[in-house]
Amino acid sequence: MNPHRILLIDDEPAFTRVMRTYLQETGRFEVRMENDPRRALVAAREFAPDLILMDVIMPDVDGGELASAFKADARLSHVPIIFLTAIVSKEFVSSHHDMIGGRPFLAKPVDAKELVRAVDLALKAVA
Amino acid sequence: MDQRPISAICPPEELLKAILDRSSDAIILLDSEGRIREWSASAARLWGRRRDDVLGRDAGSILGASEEVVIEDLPGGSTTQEFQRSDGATFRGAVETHPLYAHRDVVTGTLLRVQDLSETDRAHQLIQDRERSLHETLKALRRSHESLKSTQLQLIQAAKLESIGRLAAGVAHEVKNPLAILLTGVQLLARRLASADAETREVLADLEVAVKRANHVIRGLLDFAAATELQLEAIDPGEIVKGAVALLQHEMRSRHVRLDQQLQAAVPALSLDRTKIEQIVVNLMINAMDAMPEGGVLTVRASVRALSQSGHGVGFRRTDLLRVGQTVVAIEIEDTGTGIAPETLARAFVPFFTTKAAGKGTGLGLAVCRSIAELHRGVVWLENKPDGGTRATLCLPAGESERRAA
Repeated sequence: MNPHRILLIDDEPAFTRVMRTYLQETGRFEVRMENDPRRALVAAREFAPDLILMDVIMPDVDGGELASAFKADARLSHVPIIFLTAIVSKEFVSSHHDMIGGRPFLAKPVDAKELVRAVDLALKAVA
Repeated sequence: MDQRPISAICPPEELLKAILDRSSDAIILLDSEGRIREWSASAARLWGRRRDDVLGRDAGSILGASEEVVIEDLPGGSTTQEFQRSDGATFRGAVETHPLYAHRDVVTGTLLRVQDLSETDRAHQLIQDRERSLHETLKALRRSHESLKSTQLQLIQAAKLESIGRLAAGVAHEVKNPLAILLTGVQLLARRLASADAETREVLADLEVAVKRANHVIRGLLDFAAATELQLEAIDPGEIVKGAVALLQHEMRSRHVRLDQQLQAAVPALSLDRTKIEQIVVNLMINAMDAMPEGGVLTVRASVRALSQSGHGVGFRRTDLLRVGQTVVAIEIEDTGTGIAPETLARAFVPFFTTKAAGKGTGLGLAVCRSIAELHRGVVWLENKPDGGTRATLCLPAGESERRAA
């Protein structure tokens, strides 16, 4: 089975590196990282991901704006997005059923196993 | 009063009469039997009785004195008396009595001089009324001053908390991102080194715990910062207590803590932030359980009462939020532990102060409790009970919140 393609957008290179390594080592995912949110739309069109993992607060363009841009793009509008953010706590996310504004959210620092579970769930939902 | 000019060449008797009639005080002459012999114009005006109608009559029935006019032995004696006019109205008069002697020891009559005190009384009453009204105004001013002071303190506190909130949110964001790198990194290494020696795996496990602990502190800081806004709803504080108890039921059982719940039935609904007040109660209950590692009795009480001055232990620093005598809803949480050392009690509400083992407490729990209580214009304090153990009290103003909710 081909690995699922995940686009990881976060302005913190160390985070995307370690997360990409973790996910790829499971053997189930192919991960592309993008640290410049201004290039994220182009990267997404090129890479054609099955799922997008994305930070919320980033310089120049934030996660919300990017999500709108993806939704407006015919080739990307169906791609599930999971937000990763340091601005809310795990408890806040849990009390909102892991959803904010209709999108799944995970609070940083995220437990890697929980992240994989959330990714699997999101992929299953669109399969 | 007679204003006609006095003729200096009139007979002495007429002259005397003219002088008497020009006195503003009533001059009355009585014979030895107490009958009226002379009645000045002022007396006529004061009692509303003409001279011709009273001459020869018994003074007692005419003057309508509240008590018998005592004729002092000493000339010039003066008392204050109430008299009744012919129309039934009363007035107060200062009475001066002068016994008249025919010769030594034989009294032939009495001269009464009565000064009308009505004007003085009216002026006195006016002063008293003014004083009372001034007093009322002063009291109202004091009240509004107190209320202004309290509002100002609240605003300062809110502003302080808001800036702490902004700071905390900023710090949280900046710290959580590196923590995210560390956590994923540690978990990645743990997976790669799953077959490494026990020591290596232990170090990695410790690293993961340490990262999660740091995140826990940040979360506490965010909680502390989040205590700036309230989602108010009218709610029975007893319901909140029950909710907190339900949350901790299992925990209490496993820690061999017996619950003694005493919730007064007539506790009024207050305008409260349910989640935040529950957070206080849960926090205080967990502290109480932590104080009883061997188990014990945890008493939770909710009651309405007037706030008393006594018994305010540490934590009652914002006395201006509540006044002594004010009606409050008090939620008390008591344990049967060993109590708190005075030096600990003194610092219990200081942010980041904790007596719990590393990783077990952030030192923000009580600081958050205090912030939330103060946002509700309430107070929270801790004290050692005389019979051992600790009592935590959360007092919420009954009237205040109700007014705010209106």
